[in-house]
Parts: sequence; structure tokens; C-alpha cells
Amino acid sequence: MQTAATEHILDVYAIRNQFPILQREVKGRPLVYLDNAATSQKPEQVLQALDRYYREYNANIHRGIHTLAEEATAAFESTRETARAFLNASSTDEIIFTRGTTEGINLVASSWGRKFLSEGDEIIISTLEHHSNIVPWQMIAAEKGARLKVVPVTDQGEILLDAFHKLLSPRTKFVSIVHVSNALGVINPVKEVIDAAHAVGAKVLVDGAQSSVHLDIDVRIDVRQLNCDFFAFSGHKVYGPTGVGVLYGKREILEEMPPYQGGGEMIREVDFAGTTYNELPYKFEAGTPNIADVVGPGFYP
Amino acid sequence: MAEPASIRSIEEEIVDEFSLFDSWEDKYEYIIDMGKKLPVLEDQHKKDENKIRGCQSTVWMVSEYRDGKVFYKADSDAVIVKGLISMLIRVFSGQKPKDIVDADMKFIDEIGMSTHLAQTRSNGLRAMIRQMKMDAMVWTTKH
Amino acid sequence: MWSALDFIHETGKARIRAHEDDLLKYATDQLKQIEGLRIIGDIEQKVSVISFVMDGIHPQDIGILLDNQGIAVRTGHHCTQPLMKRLGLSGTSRASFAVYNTREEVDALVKGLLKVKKMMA
Repeated sequence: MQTAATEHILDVYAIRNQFPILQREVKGRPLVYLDNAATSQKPEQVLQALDRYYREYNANIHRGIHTLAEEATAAFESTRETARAFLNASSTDEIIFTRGTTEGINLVASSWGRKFLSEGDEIIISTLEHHSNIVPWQMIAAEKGARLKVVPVTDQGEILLDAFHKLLSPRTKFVSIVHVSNALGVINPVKEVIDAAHAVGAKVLVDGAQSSVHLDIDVRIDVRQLNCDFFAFSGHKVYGPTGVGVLYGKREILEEMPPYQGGGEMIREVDFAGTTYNELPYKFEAGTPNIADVVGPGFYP
Repeated sequence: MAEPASIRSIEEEIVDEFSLFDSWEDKYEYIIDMGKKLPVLEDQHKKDENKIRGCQSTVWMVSEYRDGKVFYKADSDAVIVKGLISMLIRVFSGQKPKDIVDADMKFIDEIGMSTHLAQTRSNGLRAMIRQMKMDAMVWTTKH
Repeated sequence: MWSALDFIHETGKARIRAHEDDLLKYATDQLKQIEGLRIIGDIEQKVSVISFVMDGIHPQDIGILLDNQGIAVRTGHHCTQPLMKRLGLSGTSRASFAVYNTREEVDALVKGLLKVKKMMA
């Protein structure tokens, strides 16, 4: 009878049937997979999608005029629209495909930091951060002579908002904060953090690696309502493949940022005398992206 | 003084002991028991330079050389790891450096503990064995 | 990733969250009945991730003994070493629930942990 409580919410057994890996055994026992914060398992439709991409319309995107290239490009760009809708961003120009949350944060720390940070500036993070939202900031802070400030937490892992407000000053240039702690599951009051940071003129990145899969009812993932400047998440934690993620950034900020990596696709014109860069979002997508893992299926030309 | 049993004969003893257990529970309970009985390592040895690096549990190990033989002492904050160390110490401690370096440690497979050799099992047997063999090698070069 | 986001959309984010919240509440209540188990981050505003420690038992021992029962949890510092240091912990065990997890699996976890306790006693 213990399952009765959730039956009206969704049919969990029907959902389980969509995840082939849940049928397997470990050490002779049925697998009980409770490591979803590390990575989620993948439903049949995602597995089929990967397979179908390589079987039916594998081609490099954006530069071909043949049919396969057009189909792959259309699928890739449609996924950008799906990701835009997922975050409720204003435009697909604000959706950059990455390898995952870690790369998204590194992109911002490196590109935004390189241009806008200088000696004596301050970056604020919290005690709850994952190493991937600590180390990129330590690296750029060391390079620029900026200082890293850390918001303390209670014994239960709640950030101390009073202490955060005290850390804010005109020297604060950037706040990078996790939406939901991967270690403890606690939800941070990011809206208040964002508004307070904006009041002193700082930009804010929200690490959405955990929140992207969990939050909806009481805390919406809506980058316009949150008014964050950047939001990063990973595909593999939202039932998708590994090696792909999304970085959202406000258009006017992304436009001012220098490219992160150089290569194909991110250029407008290359000349040995100098190169001009492509428009958003392609400026930040150097090289052939992870097309297969981005597109999945759903697209029938 | 009689020569101590050879590495291989101690390994065989351990394999015999494990052959009495049918279930994983019994096997692990035996390892846990050995872990709890591992002699205490004095606090003075629990310092960074004696740590075997790993991700999850901390292992400290020290060795000394007496009369041509290597003796080990170790501790860990995790009990199963301590049990595994205890087995290794039983096999290696009091042996000649060359015998330690040459040992192939087949018994780990034979008692069904080879999954602990996997890289991801932090502070797995592999790291500990490597450290013990390195210590043995160092002692041979010093003497 | 398109299909993954589609999957979430089709299933419904609100329904997924409601299901996960139900598991969170059920699991929290069940785990708290285990003597010597302490949940870290036991507050209202949280998602279906439960980090816990058990008196006198190293997280790595918990992880190994649960794995032998077919149960996959994460143990260690969860790539948050500064947080662990602040909380005075070397690490925790973490059970995190997704849309496809069930109450029976929570029961399996609780049973598994009781077995760990018994074996370590």
C-alpha cells in the first residue's frame, strides 16, 4: 500500500519501463539506483535518438548545403529552441551549447573575467559550491588580482543572507552561486541574491546543475523571472546524454564578452591580418559541437 | 629462530579461511572483524607523509627494516579498508624485501576480492600494495 | 538532449517534482528512524537529495556494503571539500531520487542500511 500515495501523481512503474538500465541486476540483486545527483539514467527515447542520429542524418552542421547537413543543422537549432523554452530565455541567441555546467562556468569566468575584472575587484561565491564553481573563479581571480569572498552557511547548509549582504560592496563585480546544493539538496534563495547583487552593479551566474532537473512548482526555472545574468546546466543530469550542456547568458552581456575558444564556426572571417567573430550564439561555439548528444531525435525532415 | 611462513603459504591460509564463507555477508563480516582487530597505529605516525592518497578514506602506513625483513603498521578511518590492510600486513610483514616486491598476490582473486582492485575503489588494495612494495624496494636500496 | 528535455516536458515538471517530493518526505521520515543516522541539510527548502552520516561508520564502508546489496549511493565529499570542512565532516553518504525511483526502493535503502549497521556492530 505504500505506493498508493504517489499513484495519483504519476505512474512510476510505467516510467520505469522507459529506462532499460533499471531492469539490470547488481551483485545478483535488482539495481536500486539512488545516485541521480551524480547522473541520471536515460529513457528509451533518448537512447533511440542517439542511435537514429548516426543512422539517419549524421552530418556536420552549419556549413553544408547538402540534405544531411541541412537536416542536422535544423535539428541542432531546433534543440536550441527547446533549451530556450526550457529556461524561458528571450532568444535562442542567448543559448550556448557547452560540454556541461563546468564548461559553462569556465566560459564565463574566463571570457567575462578576462575583460571585466581588474585588481581589487571582488567575486562572491558560497560555501555550498561544487569545485567547478570554485576553481574557475580562483583561477581568474589569481590572474586578475581579484579577491574571492565566500558566503558562510549554517550547520544545515543554509546560506547566511545577512552575511551575504554585508559582503556586497561596490567592489563586488560578480556573484556565482549554486541554485541547489549537490551535496545536501538545499535550495538557495537565488532570487534575493540576484536582486541584491544587481543593486551594487554585480553580475550573477546561477549554477543550475542540480536545480534544472528538480525545480518547478515553488521555484521556477525561468531565467527572465530570476533575472540572472547567466545560468548553466548539464544534459546528463536531466535524463540526457553526457558531454553536453547549456549556458544561458543575457544577450547584451554576451555581446560584450570576448570569445572563449578560437576555431571554426565562431568566426565571421579569418585573415592572417586579423579575424572577425561570428554573431551570438556561435561566437562561443568553436569547433564541431557534440551534435549527436545535442539533437537526439524528434526531428523528422 | 624458525623462518616465518612464506608469502605463498600465508596466502593459501587466507584462501582456506575464506573458502568457509558462502555469502558476501560472511566474507565482509570477517574483513570487518580483522579491521577492528588491527593493532592501533600510534598518533605520531598519522601524518601527511605517511598517507596513501585517495579520494574517500584515509590510510596511513609506516614500515621498518629489521634483520633483513620489512615490518609494516597501518591504520585507516574506514573499517573495511582496515580489514584489507590487515590481510596485507599478515602476508607481507616480516618478509624479505625481494619476496615482497616479487609477490603476485594471487590470493586476492582467489578470495573474490578483486573488485577492490578496481581503480575507482579509492584506497583500494592496488594503492596499498604498490606502497608496500615501494617501501620494500626503498629498504633494499638503503641496506 | 532535445529528447531528454522532451521527456521532462511530456512527463510534466510539476508531476516529477511532486513525485520526488513525496519520495523525499517518505525517505526522510524512514531514515530518521534509524538510530545513529543524522541527515545533513534537513530543512524545508530542499530537493530529493538526502545526505547523511551514521555514528561510527565511515561513508566508504556504507557505500561498499550497500553496493553488495545492489544499492547505488554516492559517498565521499561530493566535490564540495570546503563545504565538508565547514561542516566538520570527511564526507557523507548521499541518496538522491529521480522520477523513476519508488517507495519500495526507499524501503530497500532503509533495509540495506540496517544491515550495514548490523554488520558493522
